[in-house]
This record gives sequence, C-alpha cells and structure tokens, in this order.
Amino acid sequence: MTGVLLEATGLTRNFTARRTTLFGPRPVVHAVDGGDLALAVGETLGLVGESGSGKSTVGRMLAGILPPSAGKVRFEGRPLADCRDMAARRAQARRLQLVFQDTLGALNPRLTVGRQVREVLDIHAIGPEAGRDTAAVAALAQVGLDGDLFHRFPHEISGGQRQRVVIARALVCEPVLLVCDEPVSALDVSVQAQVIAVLQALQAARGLAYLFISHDLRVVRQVCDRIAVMYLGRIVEQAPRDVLFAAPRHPYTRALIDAVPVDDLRRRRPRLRLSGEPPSPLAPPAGCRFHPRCAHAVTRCTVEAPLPRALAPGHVVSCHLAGDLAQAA
Amino acid sequence: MSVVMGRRRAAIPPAILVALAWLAAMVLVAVLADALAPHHYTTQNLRARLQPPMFWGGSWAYPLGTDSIGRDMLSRVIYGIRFSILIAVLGTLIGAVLGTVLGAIAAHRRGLVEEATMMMVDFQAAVPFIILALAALAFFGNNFWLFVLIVGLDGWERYARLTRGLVLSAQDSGYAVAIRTLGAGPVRVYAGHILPNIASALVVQMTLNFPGTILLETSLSFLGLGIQPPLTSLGLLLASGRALLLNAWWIAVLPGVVIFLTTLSMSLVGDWLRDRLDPTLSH
Amino acid sequence: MLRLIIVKTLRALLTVLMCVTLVFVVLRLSGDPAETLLPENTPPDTVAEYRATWGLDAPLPVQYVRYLAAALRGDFGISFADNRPALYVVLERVPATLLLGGTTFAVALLIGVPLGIVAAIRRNTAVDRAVMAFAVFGYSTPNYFLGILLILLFAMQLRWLPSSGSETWQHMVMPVFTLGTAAAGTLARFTRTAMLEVMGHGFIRTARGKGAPPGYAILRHALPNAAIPVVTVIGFQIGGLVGGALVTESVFAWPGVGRLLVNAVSGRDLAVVQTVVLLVASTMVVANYLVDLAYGLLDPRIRGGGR
Repeated sequence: MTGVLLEATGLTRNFTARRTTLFGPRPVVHAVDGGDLALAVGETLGLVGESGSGKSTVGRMLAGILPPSAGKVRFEGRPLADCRDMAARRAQARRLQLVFQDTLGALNPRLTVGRQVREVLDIHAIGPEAGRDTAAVAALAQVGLDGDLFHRFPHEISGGQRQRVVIARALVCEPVLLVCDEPVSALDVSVQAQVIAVLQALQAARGLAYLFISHDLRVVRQVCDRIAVMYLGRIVEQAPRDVLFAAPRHPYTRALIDAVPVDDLRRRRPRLRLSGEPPSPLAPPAGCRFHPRCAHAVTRCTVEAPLPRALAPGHVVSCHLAGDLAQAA
Repeated sequence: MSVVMGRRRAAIPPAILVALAWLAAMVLVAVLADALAPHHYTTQNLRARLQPPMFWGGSWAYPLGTDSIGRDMLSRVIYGIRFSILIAVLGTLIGAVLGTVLGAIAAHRRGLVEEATMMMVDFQAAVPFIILALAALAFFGNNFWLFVLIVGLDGWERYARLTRGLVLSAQDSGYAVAIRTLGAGPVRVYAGHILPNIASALVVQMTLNFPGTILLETSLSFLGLGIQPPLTSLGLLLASGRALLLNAWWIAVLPGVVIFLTTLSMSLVGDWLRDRLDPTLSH
Repeated sequence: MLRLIIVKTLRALLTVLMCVTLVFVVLRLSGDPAETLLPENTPPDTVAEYRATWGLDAPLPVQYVRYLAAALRGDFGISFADNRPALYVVLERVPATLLLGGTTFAVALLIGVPLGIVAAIRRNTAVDRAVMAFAVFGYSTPNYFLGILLILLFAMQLRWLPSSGSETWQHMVMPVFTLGTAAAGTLARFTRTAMLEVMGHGFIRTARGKGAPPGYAILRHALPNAAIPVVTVIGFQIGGLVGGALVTESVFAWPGVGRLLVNAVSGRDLAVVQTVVLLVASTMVVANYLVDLAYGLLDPRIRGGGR
C-alpha cells in the first residue's frame, strides 16, 4: 500500500556566514534553495550529490532537527514538530529517525553500546523496565550483532559494527521512516555490503521507508527505488532508479553517472565531462547553477533558473534543455 | 569531545608521587586532627613559652615548639591544616558548582543570558579577586560562613567559562545531537551525557584552582581579615609569628613551609593531570 | 577592525558601569551611607549637606544617578582615619604602589621572558629543568611567606636590607623580589610554552632549512609569533601584581594603596574601601582592554577580519 509519508515543498535553508568586510550585508550561504520532495510508505528515496550540494542539510530538515528557513515539511499528514515542543518531538521521534554519518561521534564514548540502545527504551518508556536490556540485545541481534557486544564501548568495535549499532538504536523505537545520512560512506566496500544487506532486510521485515543520502552512486543504485540528484542546493533531477540510470536528462546527472566506472563494457556512451571547479555556495552562479560547468549551456541558462518540469510521470528535471538533448544510446 | 584513547598507563613521575603523598597526608591530618594533635590548639602553658622545636634545642613534649603563650605548635599547625584545607575544599566545591551551573545555563540559553553571564565572567576575571574579597569583608563584616562563601567565589569564573565552552561544543557533538533526535529531554542530555564527558576537564580545573584558593584564605587570614581567633588557620599562625621572627622563627616558618609544600604539590599534580587528560586547557 | 574596537570599548565601559553599580548596591546594603561614608565626628549640618548631595532621602533610582554623578566628580565620602576626602587619601598612596608595581613588572618581564626563551631553546636540558623548577617554586610560594623569610634572612640575620618603609632603593629590593617572583615564574613558563609551540611550526624549520642561522630564525620568526600569547599573559599578570601588592605592602609596611586598603577594611572605613575598589577595577578593565586591543593588532588573523 502506498501513501505519501513525507512531503516537502519549497524547502529552503540559509546560513549566515562570518562577515569578511566591515560594511555591507553579511554573506549568506544558500545551502538549500527551494526543493520539493516526496516519499511514499515503504519506499527508499536516494538523495545524491557532491559535498556542498546541500543533501545533508535536506536530510536534517526532513528529520526535523534543523528548521527550514522557508518551505514546509509534512510527515504523516502533519507538519513536523517544533523544536521547542518536547512532547511532540518525542512522539515524532518514535516515527521518524535519523542515522548519522559519524558513528563514532554519534555514540557517547563513555557508555557501552548496549546501554545506549537501551537508553532509547528508557526515554520512550517502551516495555517494562526489567525487560529493556533483553530488548536491547534483541535489537542488536536484528542488525546481526552478537549479544556480547552489549558491554563493549564504541571505540572497541569496528566501523561496520558501529554503523549497525546506530541503526539498531534508531530502530528501537520502531519508526516508519529512517533518514540515513551517508550510512556507508566511511566503511570498506565489503563491510558496506553487509550494512546494506541489513538495511534491506529490515525494510522487507518492517516496511520501513528510507531517505538514503549518499554521494556514491553505486551504492545508491543498489538500494534505492527512486533517486533525487542535487547540485549546489537545488534538486536538478528526480526519477525512478532504472529510468535515471538508463536515460538521465540533466547534464549533471549524466556526468555523475558517466563518472562511475562502467562495469558493463558493452555500453558505450560519449562521456560527458564536467569542466571547471565546483563554485562556492557563497556566490552561486546566476540562472541555472550548473551552467558554468555545463557543456550545453546557452544564454538562457545564465539568466533564468530552470523550474522543475515533469518529462514523464515520476521523472522531474530542472533544465531548460531537457528533452531536447540528444540521447546517444 | 574527549579523545577516545586506549588504556595506556604511563608511569607517574616520582615528583608527582611525592606530591600526591604529601596531599594525601594533608587530607589525613585534616580529617584526623582530633586524634593526631597532642593538645588542643588553644591550650596554654605559660611556663613553656617560646620553646624551640625538637631538634633545635626543644623537647619531645613540644615537637614543633611553642608560641608566646605556651600553645603547642604541633597541635596548632595540625588544626591550622584542618581549617585551611576544610575551607579550601568547601570553597573549591562552591566555586565549581556555581561556576559550572552558570556556565551550563549560559550555554543552554544563549542570547542575553549568555551575554550577561559572560560579562560577569569578564568582570570577575579582570579584577584581582582579593580586592573584591576585602571589599565584601569590609561591607558585610566577617563571619565564618561569609568568609567561606567569599573564598568559594574565587575562581568561579574559570569554571563558568570552561563549562560554557565545553557545553557549547558538546551540544554540537554527535552524541548530544543524536540523543536529542532520539527524543531525550534537556535534563537527560546534560546530566546523563554532556556532564560526564566534561567532568574530567572540570576536575583538572579544580586542581588548578585549589592552590589559589588556599593562598587566598591564608593571605586574608594573615592580614587578620580572614579566620578569626579562637579558630586558627595556617595564615593566622604565620601572622602571629611575624613579630617574634628573630626570637622564635618557628612560629612563622613552620606554617609557611606547610602552606608552601601544599600549594606546590597541588600545582604539580594539577599540571600533570592537565597534561595527561587535556592539554588544551589553560590556567 | 574599527567595529572590533567599538565593540570592545563598549564592553569595557559596560563592565566599569557594572562594577560601579555593584558597589552602589553593596554600599546601600551595608547601612546608611551617611554613617558608613562619613566619620563619626562630622558636624550635623555637614552630614545634612552630604545627604542632600547624595540624594539619600530620595527614591533609589535618583540615589543611583546621584551616586554616578558623585563618582564622576570624585566624591566617594570622607575617610574615617583622617577626615579627608577618600579620593585624596587614596590618590596620595598611588605613586608608592605604582613605583613598587611598575618596578616589579619591569623586573619580572626582564627576568621571566628571557629565562623562558632560554629554556625553550635549551629544551629538556638541565638549564630548562632549572628554569622550570624556579618557575614552579616561584608561583607556588605564598608571597607573604617569601617576604617573611627574606626579612628573616636579610633584615634580621644579615642586616643588609631594611625591613620596612620606602625611603631608599634598598627598601625596594625585598618587596620587589617578593612580589615579582611569582610573576617572573609564570612569565618564564608561558614564554617557554609559547616559544616551543611556535618553534615546532613548519615555517621555522623551513627558515632553518634555508640555512638561516638559528638566532635569526628565533628573532625574526619565532619571537613575534610567540609574542601574542605572551602579551595575553602579561595582561593577567598585571592583575596578579595588584593582588600581590596588597599582601606585600602589608608585609613590608610599604606605604601604598594595598596597605591602605587592608587598614581600611580592618577599620571599616568604607569610603576608602569603595574608592580603592572602583579605582582598581577601572584600571584593570582599562588595562585588559588595552591588552585586548594589542592582541588584536598583533594577530593578523584577527586584524584581517575574515578567515
């Protein structure tokens, strides 16, 4: 059954940076500039981009820990809980959770892993007090971790195990949506596979939805149903996975995909190379933000920001030239 | 914020061991004063006035000599240690608790509360505390508990500044954000997570402040503005020996040596702890 | 940069105002100022005059404003001890304290900083250890104890130096030594740390790698960079000197502000006490403010304003 679980419209986030000149306005970083996203129940939406694209910021806004400068987010039909409303936030925490990128940082170095998982049960008063340790052990088992990890400290276990602990901790309150911010980026490839397998198994068992944030297209391809591509604070393309990889319409998406080492040598496509340096988010280019690096840019691209356009059901692109670009097969 | 290290014990340098031993001895003396002192510190014996210490011509009866009205110096020093250590410990705790709480509140509330607190901190740091202490004693008179409070306030601003900084960085740290996302309320975040992680830095600060606290109390008592007779303090003893310096040097020198060794030991231990636990702290 | 100066100036002024307000509050809490700030034998009509000037029978906000006005005029009450305006009594003694403090500061700087540099250059040798031992002993010794020991040795046993008063330069030797030991020790330590940190930096090794003689590297590169934290610590030392002067002046009967304050506290001469407190506090705030500015000027990172 599908229903819209999470919906964001006009998502914007600005940060004011340090003043470098004596007078004049303070520089503003437009980290996220008006994005629309939607996530259905049980779906995995990937959010892809380079560093500085704003994807982590989007993740934090959707998870409710960073208030947007503008725009709305609706989760399960209701607006996200206000930061200051403790009761609402606690209730929301049971439905919507966040898995962090820096696992060593996300865990208290002084508490054992088991205690930290158990603490979530204490916070939400889940189950009788006496049975909470057992429940924590069970939660660890669900992510494939052995019971005797309970008494270990975060620095005593491996990166992959830590990532699973963080996942277990987030799932203990049985949320329906998990925002995963670069969950496997810090792990070796072999360990990545393990963690991904865990995530997929949990999704199958519980019908979880994931917002999967990553810069690694290969991983995203394995895990996601739909993918949104971000560049410098804007969502440039959204499509179902197979459509995106088979027929990307935005030049940036094409460049990203082409940059992934091709395992299938039969597929040949003229490689779209990116030119130039990624610009600074303090002074983004006018018009389409990608135009300085785009091989196909025309005058219109330098002045007018392209609006998202649906080329096909579920396939949205923000490019003036989308649909006109010849698609070399 | 604390660096995650493996368990590696470096050897404790001998100087530090001696310092720790001395400090332990001082605490023991302070606690067991009643059992250790051969006489009460006010017992007079006018026939045994101004006796020198044991190895300088005195007798076993008064190992450290006597003062101008025949009071046993050993007992006086022992009780002096008790009072000075007691006040220093109480004072340190008061300052630490007050400073930490204010610093944490400033970091939690931000905005105007933080600005006001930091201005008070700046002010306290700018003016030498002994001046403020003297002023308070002048304005309010001198009673024992007021004195303890004043001694306690010495250095509160260092705890406040330290705590504020540590809490600010801890608030952004992964585990604080994580546990808040998981639904924890501020009390649990601060008491259960942030505070234990900054505790070691606070303890180091306490050891760094402690010598200053002892010096403040003894200085004020030396000036006659601190502990008042019949109670005694090492500073008071020193002052009482000043007039008799030529004839009975031991009355002033012995308490002075005790103070010196105690503050020296504490400084050494404090520095060593700081180097081991957190080299980024400043004193 | 200008903005920085303005902010710092405002902050300094605000801090002084806070101090004045605090003294005002405490003063009111300790009794009727007509009694606490005026000697007992003041004729009643003089008392009435002061009551009017200070607005003592007016509501509190008026009293506060009157107090500020009085402070700006220098009217802090009359000293009990000699029936003169407290301000004059205090200002009279300032030169003596400045003499002691200034000399000590110079001596501590001239001894402490070079010792620290030497210790840094000869790090981990006997020289280094000796300097550091001196430093630790220096700031751990209670200055009243050191003073007494010096008196015992040099004044009483050896009879080389006088133990009290301030007439000749010989009178200054022991007080300066007493007061300055802690400051010199701290400065030595701090300079050493600052130098070591800077010397470890890449650019020093580069300078040496280029074949520059070690002295050049130190003078031209290490010292200016090490100067920044040392300047900060100098600021703190000024405060330490003021506090230490209090006790030192009492030990050596040096006729300065510190001794005056101690006597005033014993005698509950609140007029003098409040004058000294306000004077010292303002001086310290100004001193810190100047150090702050100097810091900003020295450190190009702050000067530049940006990253």
